[in-house]
Amino acid sequence: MRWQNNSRLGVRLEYDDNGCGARRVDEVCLAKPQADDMNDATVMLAAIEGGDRQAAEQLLVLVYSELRRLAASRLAQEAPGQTLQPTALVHEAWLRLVGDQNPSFKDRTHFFRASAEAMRRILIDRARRKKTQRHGGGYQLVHLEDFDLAAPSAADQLLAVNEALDKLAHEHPVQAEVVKLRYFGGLTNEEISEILGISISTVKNYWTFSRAWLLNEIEDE
Amino acid sequence: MKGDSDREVAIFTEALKVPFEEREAFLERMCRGDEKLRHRLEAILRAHDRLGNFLQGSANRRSVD
Repeated sequence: MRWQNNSRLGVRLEYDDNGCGARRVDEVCLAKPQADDMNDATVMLAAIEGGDRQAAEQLLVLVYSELRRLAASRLAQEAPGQTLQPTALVHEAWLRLVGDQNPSFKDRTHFFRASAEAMRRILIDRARRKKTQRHGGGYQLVHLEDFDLAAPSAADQLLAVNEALDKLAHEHPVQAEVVKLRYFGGLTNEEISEILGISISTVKNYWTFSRAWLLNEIEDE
Repeated sequence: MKGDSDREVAIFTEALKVPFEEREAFLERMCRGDEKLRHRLEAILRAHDRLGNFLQGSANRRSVD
């Protein structure tokens, strides 16, 4: 068993002898008080980096609830028919949960991957609820600029894409990750390139391939 | 598995650069008798030709109305 004091984070982590499984054992006094969630996120990110699988799940739960909360407050504030903007939500969650603590590149990677997965779950849950609530035919009023998701209904398409994406992940895991980060996480090609460690042109190629693969899969059924 | 995936994506990406009328011959050459792969790639390429705005933007718009 070895110990590591992380003065920047103001926490102490305990590691197994194999270097994995870091977990927080206590907190030392921080110079400046921080929100609990912010500490939690930062500690989890450090633990994930140490190979702790449980911490990855914990981070996902934390990010999921933060994104849900932000989404609910957005939707409450604004007019009916308001949509969720993954890009804005994910970046706001980042600022709230990790923000100004000067995180490492790897922390960003773990965080944005968790966010894309959390956003995917939120959007899918909402689409499923919507589908259950819907009366009559599957068509709905849509605005002109949204025609790409208009027929027969955006919720249906979202669910179909989600299902096909699981199959894509089975055959082409990296390409599926690009879809998740971009379509559900709202990240840019540049951010995805950074997170996955591949060039921007490769991100674009994978995105094109995945869109065609998914459309073929969905229309094939 | 990873090699298969890489190969499929690479052939697809290259096929898009080939003039349409040469695509079939290109696929035949690249797939080297792997009929299953060739048929799959043909289907994905056909889907590519009718992509339109499919999945453009992220999964936000009106998806939750």
